[in-house]
Amino acid sequence: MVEPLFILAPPRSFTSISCGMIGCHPQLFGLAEVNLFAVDTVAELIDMHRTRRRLQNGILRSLAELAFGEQTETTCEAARRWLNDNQDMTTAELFRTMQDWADGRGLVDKSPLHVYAPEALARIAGNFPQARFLHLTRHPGDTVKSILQLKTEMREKALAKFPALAGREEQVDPKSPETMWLQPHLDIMEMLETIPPERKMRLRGEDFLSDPRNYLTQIAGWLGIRTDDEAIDAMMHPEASPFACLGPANARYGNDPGFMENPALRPYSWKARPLEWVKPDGEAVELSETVSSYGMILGY
Amino acid sequence: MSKIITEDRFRVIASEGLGRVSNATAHSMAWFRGQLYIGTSCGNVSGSADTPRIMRFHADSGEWETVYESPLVPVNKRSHAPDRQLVKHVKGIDLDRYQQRRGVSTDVIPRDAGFRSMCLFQGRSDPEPALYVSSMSRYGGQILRTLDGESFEPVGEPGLGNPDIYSFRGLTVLGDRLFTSPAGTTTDEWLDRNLAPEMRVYVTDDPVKGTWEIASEEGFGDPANMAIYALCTAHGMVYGGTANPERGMQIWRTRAEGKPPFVWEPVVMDGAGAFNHNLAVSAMCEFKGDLYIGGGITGLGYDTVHDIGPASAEVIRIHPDKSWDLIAGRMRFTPDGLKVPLSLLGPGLGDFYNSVVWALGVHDGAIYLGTHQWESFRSIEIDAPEIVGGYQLWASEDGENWELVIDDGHGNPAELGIRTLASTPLGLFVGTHNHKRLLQMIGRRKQAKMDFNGGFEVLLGK
Repeated sequence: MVEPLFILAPPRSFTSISCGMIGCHPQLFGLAEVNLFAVDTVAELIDMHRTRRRLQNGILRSLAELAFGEQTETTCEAARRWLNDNQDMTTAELFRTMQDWADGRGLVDKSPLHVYAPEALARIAGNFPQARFLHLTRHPGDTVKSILQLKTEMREKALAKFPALAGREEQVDPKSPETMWLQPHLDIMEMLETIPPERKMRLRGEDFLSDPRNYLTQIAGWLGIRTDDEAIDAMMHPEASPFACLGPANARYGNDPGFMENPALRPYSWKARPLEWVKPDGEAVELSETVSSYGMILGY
Repeated sequence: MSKIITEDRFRVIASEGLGRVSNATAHSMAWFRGQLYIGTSCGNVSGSADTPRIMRFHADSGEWETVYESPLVPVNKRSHAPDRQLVKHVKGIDLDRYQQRRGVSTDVIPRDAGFRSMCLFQGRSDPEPALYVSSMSRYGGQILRTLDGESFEPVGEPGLGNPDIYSFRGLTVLGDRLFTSPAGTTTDEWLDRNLAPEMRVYVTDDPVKGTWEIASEEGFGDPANMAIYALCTAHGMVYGGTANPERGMQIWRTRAEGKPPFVWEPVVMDGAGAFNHNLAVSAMCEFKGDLYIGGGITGLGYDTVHDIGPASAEVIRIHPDKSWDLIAGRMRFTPDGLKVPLSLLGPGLGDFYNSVVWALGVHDGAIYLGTHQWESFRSIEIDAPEIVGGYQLWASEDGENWELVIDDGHGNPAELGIRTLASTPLGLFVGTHNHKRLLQMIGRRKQAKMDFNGGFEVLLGK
């Protein structure tokens, strides 16, 4: 059995396409956003889903795909019932069950809540001592810009449905780079301090997307799985991931909407650029010394 | 049978800075006219008692002879301008008061802080191979020359015309040319021993005439390169390694064909994938057809000016075709493939406190590596019951399997670094760096017991 791989990064750090690519290796299975380790037990997971309903989509789709080999309203509903029937399970036991269902393939996880929920990273490290971790990075300014852009898009959609929300725009936090980029990376780096060197790697997402075949071969080599052309070719097609499209009506999401809309790999190039971030009004602001310092450590 | 010299075959042939404990570093060494020469240095020259020297070792008697002493010059604004790295490390300590307690003269001061680099070279005006020595000076670093090993004369202007240049490092010979690069900046307001006002390589075929030409573009064309930190020849080319606080060390090379400035090509970029945790190339050496490179962050593994680190040293190896291996360091993905440390040693060769590989040298079929190991400072900081730490000497016959030859500063935790290695017919000479003065300054506040020697040592292994 191939041990699981956890991709750790703040949101909007190319995690969806990365998980899509890596998870398409014949010996791996890239999950939807299951967010299991944000809590300890399945009961707590279901409780979390009650208030944040979209969060259940990823685990339902993943369970349906693993158990039945397809995601339909019926299989996703069956997955939901199965979860309800197994509320006494820990989330670690649930993950191990999913590993069993993956027929020896290693699970690849990239759940965004894992870098925000307290204890999530410790829960993963504690329960899966053989797991590997890929710390994915992106330029701090680009990360913040992308998160703010997504927020704007979501707000516009909300406004279309609920015009009464107009005029209640949220102010942009001047500390956005600290909260959205720096803090998650610091948490990731702190947790990775406890992980043996051979089980953790760091990669600039920009490098990965600029030369995916090169890095996919390296990642496969590091994971100790096939590096032949057939295996790497499969990884070059993230659109083949079962989670590269919308799910059935009762579990539509569970992945990044942008990725589901346009999941294929596209030519990408990146050049080093200044350590600054651009506010929604277009103003370019220098990143703080601390953010810049960590930006440079991560290669920006 | 292993060719590596084991610890029991090393003996100390110089200690306590050869009578000047403030001479903390055996900074440079060369074998010239059948004798070993060393250039000493003092971290903080305050008066005549600190005067750095060039000394010669008489192997038959075991005696050392002073062949050159830095002249004393009147004190001026530059003489005590604060070292901007040191000031941050010893925050809270009044350096002036410390100097006054030592009863230093305030009228005159040694012109040089030490002698950084040595090499043998025969320029067009030299009747025979001469020993060239570069000095470190707040009044502008100079290049000295001697033909007989007794009379040393400056060749060229201080700073080669720019008195803000503190020193020159990496005197390196390729064919009939001598290369060097500026090291450090000296001003009326501050001193930086490493980062230079000019990020260029210079070349001459006749240093006696004092005319040097620019051999490279400024910073090899990258404004983020803040210094050319090391020079070395390998594969019939000159290699230059940089310090780059933004993106990490770079390594460039040139065949030095035609007239300067020469065409340089990039070999390794972005700190070899470790970005600025490989801030600078600190040592280079050719061994069995490959170039070995030590990288890291000088000092205590933390660059106070640019707030980089802490990080530990790494070692890489470059082949003639520009491909490279990670010898010791953090496993990583790179544009050049997955790099796994071939020695199976992580950053710092497995010791976090090895901040930088400070010296590399080849002797009798083996490569030797000396580290700067700063655990003693940490011992004081955490009030450890005993001060432990000190340099390490490693060796390898194939460049991949390394063994630890000497640990813990050879029994003295103030012996923090191996600054220079010299292969000679007498054996392998090891020149050290001793940090007792700075440890004392920091430890005084904590009443730490420091009953170990100060001043550099020289070891001879055979």
